[in-house]
Amino acid sequence: MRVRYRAVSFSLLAPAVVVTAPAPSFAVDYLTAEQAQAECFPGADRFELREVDLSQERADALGRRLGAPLPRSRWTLRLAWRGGELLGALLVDEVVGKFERITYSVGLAADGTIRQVEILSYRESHGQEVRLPLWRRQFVGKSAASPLRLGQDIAGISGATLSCAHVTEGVRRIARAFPELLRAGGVTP
Amino acid sequence: MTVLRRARPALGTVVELGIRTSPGPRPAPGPCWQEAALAAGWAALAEVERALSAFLPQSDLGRFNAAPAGAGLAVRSTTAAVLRLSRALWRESGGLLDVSLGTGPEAWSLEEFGGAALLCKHTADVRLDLGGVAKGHAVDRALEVMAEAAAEAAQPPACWVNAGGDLRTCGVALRVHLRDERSGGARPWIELREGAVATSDFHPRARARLVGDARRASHVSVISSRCCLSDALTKVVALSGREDHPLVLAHSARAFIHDRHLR
Repeated sequence: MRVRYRAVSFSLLAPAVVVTAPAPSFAVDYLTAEQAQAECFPGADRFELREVDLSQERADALGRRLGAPLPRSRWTLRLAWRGGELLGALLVDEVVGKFERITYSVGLAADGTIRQVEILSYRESHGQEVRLPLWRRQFVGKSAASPLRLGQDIAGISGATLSCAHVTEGVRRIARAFPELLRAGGVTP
Repeated sequence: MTVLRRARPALGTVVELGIRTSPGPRPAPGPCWQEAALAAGWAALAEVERALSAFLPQSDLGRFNAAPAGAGLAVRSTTAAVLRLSRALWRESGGLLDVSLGTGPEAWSLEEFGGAALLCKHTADVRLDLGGVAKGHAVDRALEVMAEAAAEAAQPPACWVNAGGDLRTCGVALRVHLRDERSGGARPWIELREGAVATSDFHPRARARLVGDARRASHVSVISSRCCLSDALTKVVALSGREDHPLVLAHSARAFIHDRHLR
């Protein structure tokens, strides 16, 4: 079916506000981990959280084998089951870019193939803040201290250097570490 | 009002797809047309990426770049559409927009053979990189298939696509924020109700030609009817240093050169 598009329509937002107001943080929550696992494994009848704690030694060894250090030794596997069959697992990780903090999920089938990568939340902020570990920590869990609450507004960012290189690296690392994480969690597909 | 928005890594950036649905009872759990529209949007993005990425050896561009001189390759319709636009913009911009990046703007041509498009390579050295328009084209394609899915479900098209700042909206008023490239933070800039915006870095060579305060130019945004046009026109403005470049005016677009403080 054809859709007719109207002409261009836009308006500038009050420039005085732009100049004087401090730049707000910008945050979007897309999906919870629960929603992401349900979307990634629609055939599952049960999800099980399994905490995996690789010893620091084992995490370091795995990092060396993968060519890049694992960001942490503790992981949560969200195992998707249908009856007694393991369909796969969802893992949640977080990366920090130049100005952004991205929480994303990777859904992997039991054989290790990547099924889906979703951004769960996105936080755009000042570079200085992102680099401050304390600032980062306050976002762990859920709501941020002072992100711009957008209410009914739907907003997007236009910028020149938005990149997802860190997400791509993170996904690759998780995919390669996945078999060992399964084993460490006592799961044999 | 229900808004469904999802984001995934794609096109080398974070891509967000969004759909607004009219007020009404919440749809029953399970697959709904919005989910189908989003899935179609992701598929369209993947299709454009497969066709146009210079990094994938099996893409139309990867095959062209690896081919010997004299080769003629059958290419996908999406590739042909972008190449046709690139050729037109090259001509109209007096050579400023060159998808061969100087390796031979006239060393490639697109021929039509019974409805199929054939991309011909005339010299061994010519390489094509559609980085300047492909992302915008992918945004357009995703938006079009989502709007079509809405129309098929007898819903007004109300959706948007944002590929890391190259964005287009149809029927949704979207507040566009600009990221401060020096210190982070996103500042409110425009409300876009219909059309497309793309933002690019300002070319240092063009900046050097400017005088006084204008030298603080950091990046440039262009608003037009299609994202591939906005994407391409940001390069014309960033290279020429002119918000009123004839090509911008010819396409009824508006260009904005932002200074480093995003004023």
